[in-house]
Amino acid sequence: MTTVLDTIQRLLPVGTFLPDTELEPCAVRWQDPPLWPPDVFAVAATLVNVSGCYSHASVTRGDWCLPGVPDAFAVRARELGTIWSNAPVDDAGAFERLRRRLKDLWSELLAAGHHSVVVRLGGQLPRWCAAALELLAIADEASDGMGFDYGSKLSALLEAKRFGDQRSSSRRTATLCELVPPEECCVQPRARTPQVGCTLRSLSHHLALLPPMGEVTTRYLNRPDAPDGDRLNLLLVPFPYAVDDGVFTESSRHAEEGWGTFSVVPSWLDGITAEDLGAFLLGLVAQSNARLQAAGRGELHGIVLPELALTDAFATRIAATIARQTSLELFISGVRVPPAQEGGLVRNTVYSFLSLGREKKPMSWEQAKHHRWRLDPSQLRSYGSTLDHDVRSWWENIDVANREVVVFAFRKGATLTTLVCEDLARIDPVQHVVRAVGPNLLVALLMDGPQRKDRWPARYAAVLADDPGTSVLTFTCLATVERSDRSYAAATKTPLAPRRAVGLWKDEQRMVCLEIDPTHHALLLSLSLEEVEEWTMDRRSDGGATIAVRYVAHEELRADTPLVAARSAPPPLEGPN
Amino acid sequence: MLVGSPSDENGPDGYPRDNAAFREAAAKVLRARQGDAEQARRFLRKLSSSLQDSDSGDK
Repeated sequence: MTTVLDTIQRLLPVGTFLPDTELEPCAVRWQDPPLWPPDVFAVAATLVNVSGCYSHASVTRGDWCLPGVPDAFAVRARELGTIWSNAPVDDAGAFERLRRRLKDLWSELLAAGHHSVVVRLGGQLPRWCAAALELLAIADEASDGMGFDYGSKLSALLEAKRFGDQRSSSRRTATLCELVPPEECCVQPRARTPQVGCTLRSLSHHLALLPPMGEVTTRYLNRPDAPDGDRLNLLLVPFPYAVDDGVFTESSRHAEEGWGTFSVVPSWLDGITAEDLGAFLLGLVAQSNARLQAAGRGELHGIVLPELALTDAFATRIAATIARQTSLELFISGVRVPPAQEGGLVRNTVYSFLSLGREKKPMSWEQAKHHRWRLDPSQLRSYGSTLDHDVRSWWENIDVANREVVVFAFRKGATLTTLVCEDLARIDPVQHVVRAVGPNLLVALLMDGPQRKDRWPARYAAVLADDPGTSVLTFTCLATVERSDRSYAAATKTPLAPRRAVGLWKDEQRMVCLEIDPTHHALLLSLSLEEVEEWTMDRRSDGGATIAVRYVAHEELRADTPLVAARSAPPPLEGPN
Repeated sequence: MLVGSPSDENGPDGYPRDNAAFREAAAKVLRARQGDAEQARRFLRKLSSSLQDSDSGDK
């Protein structure tokens, strides 16, 4: 049997205070609550989760604390959390109210230390469950602003730890906890709270309980001077525009078992240079800014290219060009990265570059794909691939180890994360993380067929827009959509549709298919960042501070000067073949 | 300006290792919020000693 105390001691192996080993021998103590809200949250949320007490009828009814005084719990949690986060050293009354309540609630847990964490929930909520729920709520309120470079005194302390400590450690950005080891569980800031369902995620605005970092490392990064802004204009460039039949090449084959592995060869980059592509993108940026200014929609903020659009050498050189010659905040592209060591596999990653100012070297991060693509004969036919159609399954030959999800606070109060193609559809382990941290915006880069409302990316995007409320952009290259649409038209003997669905937008209000005339080169997508109010299941409001990213408009762009390489140019529009 | 890949540019925590623009922006934030961070440290120290003192008192 695992008890409440077992859980506390497992999550806090060095006790609830960091020992000052210079002054005294290490004494491990659990009598008092931890001081750092994310540590309290990790313990309380784990107890709430394993006991399932968040689903007790009194919690879901919203009257579990003091029947007849429905707001008492929410008011108290907010008041005490605010005291903790604002750290009023000289307000003795406030200090004492916080100290006493934390101590009382922690004592309730210790008093039930011998109880099993698994409880049969009946009419009365066990006292230790009530204590864990309240500690969770207070720690959550105390963490308002953490990870977003604004707000409370405690968030300033977090910034000091993140940016002031010169020692770079993999653990430092993998969890907010100080005492709870990331090998047990992690805690990170969160941006969206699901407004549907009944899960642990329904109980917090500001913190997320995450799996151990060995299962998947959730790396939360924030830009030191994240800007404000209620608009986000993105240039979507569905490059490559064309690929040849041999884009998927055989790496290995196990014919007797009916499977093999394939690699994607970026032959669309043959014959062009990073400078060519950089100049092409700069032309589209200039055109975007002219259109945006004419429409009174501000300026361009970022560029997005699909899965595997570039190699790492192209990506870094283009990033340098963008940083030197534009004021764009973001550059996101799918990138093929060669093996880190001999005998290794290539990685299919997203590179994201964030500007720190014009003419300044940007920050960058990468995230590798977690799941391999499996091509079956129907997809091979759809893409006109030269791989052997008699082999049942062709698996993408990539390295999927050391899984990370990078969450980036790119604006005040708004986070962004990326996924690569297959990862949007696979539940474990990444979907759990995405739902827990609730990014405001998720960009999924694909090499896929049309992004229509009836295809798989739309289904999974809708799930994330529902819970946790994340807005999702899926975006693929024109080349594979073109091949897929032509195959479909030929197979069904129907006319080829005039436009290609290279992207799909889904937010909590609408789903929009982003289509492009194949003689065009890019889409200009305008989004708004709007403040909305969200509620936790225990009736705590965020005060309308949550950012919802919403669709405003999109339009097509045609480059003034096309790319030089013939295979990189959009194909001429033809009928079915 | 030369830009390397993230694996070359960043430390194991994901932040840039040697990026003057990043250091400058981080230093600006640290300066602006130094007072808040120090107040938080004092508050947590006071909370720690108060909790431990109350344990002693309970005995």
